[in-house]
Amino acid sequence: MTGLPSIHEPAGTPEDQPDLVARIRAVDGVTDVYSPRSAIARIPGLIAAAAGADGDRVAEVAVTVRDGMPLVAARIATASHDNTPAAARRVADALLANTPGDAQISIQIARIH
Amino acid sequence: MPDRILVQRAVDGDTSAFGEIVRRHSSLVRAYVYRIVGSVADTDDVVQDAFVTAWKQLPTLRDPSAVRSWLMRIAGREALALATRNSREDALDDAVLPPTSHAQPERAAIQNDRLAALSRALDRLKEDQRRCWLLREVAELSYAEIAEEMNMTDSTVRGLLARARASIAIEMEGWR
Amino acid sequence: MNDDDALECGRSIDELSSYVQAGRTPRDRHIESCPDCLNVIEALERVGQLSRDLVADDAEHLPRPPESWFEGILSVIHSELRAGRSFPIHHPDPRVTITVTEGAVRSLVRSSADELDGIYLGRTQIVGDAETPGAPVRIDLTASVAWGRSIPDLTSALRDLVYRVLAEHTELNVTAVNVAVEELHGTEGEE
Repeated sequence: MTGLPSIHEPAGTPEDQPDLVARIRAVDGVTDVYSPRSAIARIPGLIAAAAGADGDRVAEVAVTVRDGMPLVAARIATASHDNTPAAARRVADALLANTPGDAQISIQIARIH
Repeated sequence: MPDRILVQRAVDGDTSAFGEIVRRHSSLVRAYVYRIVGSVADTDDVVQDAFVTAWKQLPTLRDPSAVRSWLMRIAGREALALATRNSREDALDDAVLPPTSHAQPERAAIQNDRLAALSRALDRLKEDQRRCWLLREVAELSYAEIAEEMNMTDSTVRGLLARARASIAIEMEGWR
Repeated sequence: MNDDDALECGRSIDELSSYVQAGRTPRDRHIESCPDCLNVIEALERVGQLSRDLVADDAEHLPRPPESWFEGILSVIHSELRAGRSFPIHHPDPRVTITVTEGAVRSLVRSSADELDGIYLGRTQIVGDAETPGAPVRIDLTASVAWGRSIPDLTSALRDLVYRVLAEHTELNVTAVNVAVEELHGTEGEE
């Protein structure tokens, strides 16, 4: 399986996860992906990302291990002209298709615009 | 948008509504703080901190339309704290320092003679009198609120205010 | 000059200042008929108005802070964002958890409501156990309506809009949307 970094590390480096992020971004209705770590640390980046600014290299999808199981967590924004629950479910499906069978998927929609 | 709507939105997390509150009220709050702390640099710092405090405490504001006087109270508290710290530091210095000047060198000269006279009269008030005056005339606090802010009794506050106004009137009318 | 400035009639300026401060009640017969006392009272009242003028003058002439000063405030505030609760969204696979934040929902409701002309949305409160899927919630809104416009029409438009937005972007079980119009704007003295 491609695109998935070692799941025994805490949040992977950006270089490990471009595929996963790209796949989430490619899902219809997703406008951006944010780091699910501390919301406080990420807010400036969240705002920059929402404004379309590039170049923030903090990992946008965190892959961690919780209770021995891999957890893939993504924090995203969706578009106001699309149906948000449907868009979020598509993101989840994309992640399910690209992660090991015992992985937990957690998606939080932090902005709709 | 009315103040009340801006406050309610800001309580819900609308940062641009809060930004509008800052823009709407900052010049009056700054003017008030400036008369307490005496420098633009200190004013900038105090008022910035005051607005951040205000954001955090906004959910506790009972009457959203009274946000201006509420902001004044927060800013006044922080300004007083700074001024108190500064004067304590001054007192500890061995060097003989002139009394803290409350002249306003950093603002453009007051054009109107009467206002200039009032400004000078204010400068000459005793510290406590000037602060009571500012809290009452500018921040529009009630006597009870001033008493609480300055840690005094209601009647002490009234006395200081009466004296402050009397001194100002005497000086401005030239009854000396 | 001593602290107790006395007029010829024996009253002191301090005393007169307290009298004015108390609103000139209870009425003092001497003060209200003594020319010296009345002179002082007039002067004291003039000082009151001048004080407000001085503060306004200060506000106009103090150097305006740079834009970075305003941005400084907002950037600190952004790290204190009020994200609120997390509302669940269903996915058939049990490995998946999807939520949308209360902050995101409120922000969307506000920006959608801003499109309506003649009504400003104030508070957006989602009342109920919104973190439990399917639990009934009601939406309590406050608003300000432009003077002269139809309150029923505008509140109805706002209500419909909020129902639509929540249906399209959440899975909240909204049982009611209440709009409390707390004030009118656009009258004299309002913005």
